[in-house]
Amino acid sequence: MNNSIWRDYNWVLALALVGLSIFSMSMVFSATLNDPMTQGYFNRHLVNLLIGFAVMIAITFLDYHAFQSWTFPLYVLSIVLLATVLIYGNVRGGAQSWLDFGMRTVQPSEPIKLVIILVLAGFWASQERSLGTWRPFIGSALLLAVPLLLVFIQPDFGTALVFASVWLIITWIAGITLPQVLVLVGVGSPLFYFGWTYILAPYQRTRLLIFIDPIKYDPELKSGAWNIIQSLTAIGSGGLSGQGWTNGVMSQGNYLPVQYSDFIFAITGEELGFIGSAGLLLFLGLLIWQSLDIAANSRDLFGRLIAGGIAAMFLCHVLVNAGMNMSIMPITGIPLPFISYGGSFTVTCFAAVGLLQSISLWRRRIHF
Amino acid sequence: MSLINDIRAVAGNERLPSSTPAAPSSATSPWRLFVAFGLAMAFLARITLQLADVQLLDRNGYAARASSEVNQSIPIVASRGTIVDRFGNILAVDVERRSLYVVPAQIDPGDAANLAVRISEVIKIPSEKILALLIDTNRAWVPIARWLPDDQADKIERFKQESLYLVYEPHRFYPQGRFASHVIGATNLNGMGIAGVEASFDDVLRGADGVITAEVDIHQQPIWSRPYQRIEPVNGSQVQLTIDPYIQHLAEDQLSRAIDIHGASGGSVLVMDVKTGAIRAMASFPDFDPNDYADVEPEVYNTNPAVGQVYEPGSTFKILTVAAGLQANAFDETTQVIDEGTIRRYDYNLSNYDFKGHGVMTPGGVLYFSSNIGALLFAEKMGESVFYRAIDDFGFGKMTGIELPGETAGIYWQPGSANYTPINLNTNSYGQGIAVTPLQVVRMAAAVANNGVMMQPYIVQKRCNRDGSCVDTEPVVQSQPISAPVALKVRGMLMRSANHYVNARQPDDLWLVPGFRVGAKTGTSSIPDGYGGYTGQTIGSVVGMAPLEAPHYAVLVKIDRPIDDIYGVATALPVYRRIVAELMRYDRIAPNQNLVGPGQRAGVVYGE
Repeated sequence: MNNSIWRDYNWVLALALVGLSIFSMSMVFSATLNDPMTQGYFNRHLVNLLIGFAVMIAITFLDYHAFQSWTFPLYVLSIVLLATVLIYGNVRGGAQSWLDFGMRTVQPSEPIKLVIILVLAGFWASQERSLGTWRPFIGSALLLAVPLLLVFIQPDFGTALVFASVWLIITWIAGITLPQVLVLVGVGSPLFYFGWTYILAPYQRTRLLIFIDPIKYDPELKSGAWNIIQSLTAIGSGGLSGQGWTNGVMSQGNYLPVQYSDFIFAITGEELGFIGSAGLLLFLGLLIWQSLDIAANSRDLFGRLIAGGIAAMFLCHVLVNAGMNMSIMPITGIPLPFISYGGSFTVTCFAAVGLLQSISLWRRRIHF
Repeated sequence: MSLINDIRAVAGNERLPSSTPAAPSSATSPWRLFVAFGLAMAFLARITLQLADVQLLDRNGYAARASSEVNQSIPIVASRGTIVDRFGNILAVDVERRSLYVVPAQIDPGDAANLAVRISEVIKIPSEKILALLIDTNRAWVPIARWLPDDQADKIERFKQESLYLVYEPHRFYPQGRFASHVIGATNLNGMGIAGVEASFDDVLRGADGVITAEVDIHQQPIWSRPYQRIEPVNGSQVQLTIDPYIQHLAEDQLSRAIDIHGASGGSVLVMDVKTGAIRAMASFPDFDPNDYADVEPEVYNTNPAVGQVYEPGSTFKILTVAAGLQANAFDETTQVIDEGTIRRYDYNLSNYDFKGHGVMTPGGVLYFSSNIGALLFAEKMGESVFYRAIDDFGFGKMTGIELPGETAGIYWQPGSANYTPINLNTNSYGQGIAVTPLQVVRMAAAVANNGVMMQPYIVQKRCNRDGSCVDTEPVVQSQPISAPVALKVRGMLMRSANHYVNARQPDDLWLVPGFRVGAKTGTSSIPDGYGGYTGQTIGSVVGMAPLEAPHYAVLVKIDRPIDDIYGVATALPVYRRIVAELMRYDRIAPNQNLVGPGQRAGVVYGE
């Protein structure tokens, strides 16, 4: 490893990661401090971070092109895993998403997000000579359709949304044409209408609409409006500077459901205030910005699409999670990248950053 | 087929050499990434804007909501004061029992039905009811059953369910069960006294609940890491009764036996200390177990018959007629009237109970023979004003003021009142047409025993304040309806009357309680039907005092609606004799061998 490699290492991204890790440890510690049900979660989270760090280092110094030849087997494995989850998985929080390996449970859909990115990027890269034609557009859509359907059935709308966003950005960067956009809208709209009307159960529709007006759509506060109100209350009472770390009364009173994961943003809001929460968003923004920067400076289409897809994944998680906490996004329980407790996604996020650094290390030096 | 080829192409795509950078094709021109970047930052800006809106603009509203949700006052229930008898034996006490609560949010919905059945098997509440509570997620903290017996609480504890909470809570316990139940009373599920001393001294016994003002977590438990304020509860104060455990047991035991023997519907026994007015026993049937007061009809625990139910005193009231005339000098103990068995007054025929005349009659004879005609003629000698002033002086028609709830004053018609007719004087003289409480009658006997000084009856010996200082009840003189010499004369008449009950024929040489001078007067009263007539059912009663040399106790025995014998002599008198004999033994008074008749043994009344 010579000097030029370290010069290409993305130090801003590394800095963002350090900041996010500190936030993560602080907030998981505070969120599980007073709840006997979550004792030990902090230690397990530290282990998850360490595993993630190791995975990230390993991937960083691996040429990301190595994954290109693995995309097809990884894709098949992902489909098998998602199908297995549907048949043998454990149900948690209403979705059948977990596989039980005795000592630990794993949520396969988290690493599969990364696999989908690799698969779509690899597919588009293989079609580099026919970009802008219908072939790769339809092909990538079909590649997406199978896993999307499988997570939709779980039902895990959050992950489905992430898959769709990743596909959208990758397709956008690879070069979607105007007729293709029109077809997408033309086919997507009726599909969406059909799914909304005939596939979703009424309670699922309610749950997705609650954020618009919690009291109107869930007057008995049974389908999630209560969660939203508690979350808003916690964030709002944080004010400018917050009530102090481990000192938020809603947080320490465990008023927030799954506050170590889905509602960890509300804990941050209450305890660290606007300054702390905006700071957290700043670090997350840095993460997304650097992802797109790496995409722009990637030496090839494969790397560019991977970085773009990862940016899409992070952005989607941040927007949906923080948005849900503040009642401007539907309630879909997806975690905040790096911050939320949860091994599968934490390791996935670190692996994604490893990929980004790998792309960065193999890049051509252009900045924008 | 093209898709399969494409996917194969993915798998077999050749790795680009890292050393030869290639410019991305024109279709992926950088402006697309700029747009993506711009959109991403715009979305993040929108999120930050929302954050500012919630945290900076709406802060106060949310902070207020958080505060109202989190700041809670949790009461610490004060322990209720104990009730003890005159020797300090506990009659009512708070014990700590475990109550079962559930936090429905912690219940696994899949396991709820199973858990409900398991709880139901232990605490004997239908499992459907328990299930409804377990899944009531609208409430944070739901009581399932309060004050479980220890064995049930132990079984629940062994479930090791984190969603179930067993909390120690004070619970009223009456260790002696039905003992003195009408005096002690009972407390309801809210810990409020609803009968007896529990009700009349509720504010003394209750104490002041404390409070924890704290920030609570979602399970309403104080958050340990946050400051909280605790105001300690002030426990209730002790109340000591005048009830003597031995005498109360004696009274209840004898009364319940007599009620069983005679098939009576109920009855009362009162024992009063004549010098102070302290009630040593107040027994009434039907009674109840204060631990399970709800098992009986509310009338049973809501009414203490000794103070809250009226009856016609009948012949026992002749004590007052004789005492009143002697006190007013309307006649003396040698004044004579003629009892012909029947007499006509105001178009009514009035008569003795057996319609037999007893001839020449003195005031003592009125008590000895229990002559209605004699009482009537002596009452006419003293006149309305003297007779009714005596009734008033003896406190009839007014509450005694004893510290028990539900006391009633009784009723009689005063001359000049709308319902009064002159014949009232005649019938009232032998205790008819007047409603009194048992306590009023025993107080009258106590006044005669206490040389004419009538003491305020009381049942609370000592009450303690919150600061720990205690106040003993000082005896209070209520009035003196008759003078000491008159009282002495009446006691002498009552002694002869008492002994007469055990002498079937002359000479009167047997003693009611061998070895002791005892006063007694029986009465048999018909129970009014409420329409101006009588039901045919009777109340047998005896009232008297002992020992006559130095009177200590006034005793009343009253048996309601006996079915085998309608006269007080047969139903109430044996109870009276046994109680008085035991009281003399209890006071360690040596029997006088000169006061024992042929075939009698000193102090022995059993087996007669």
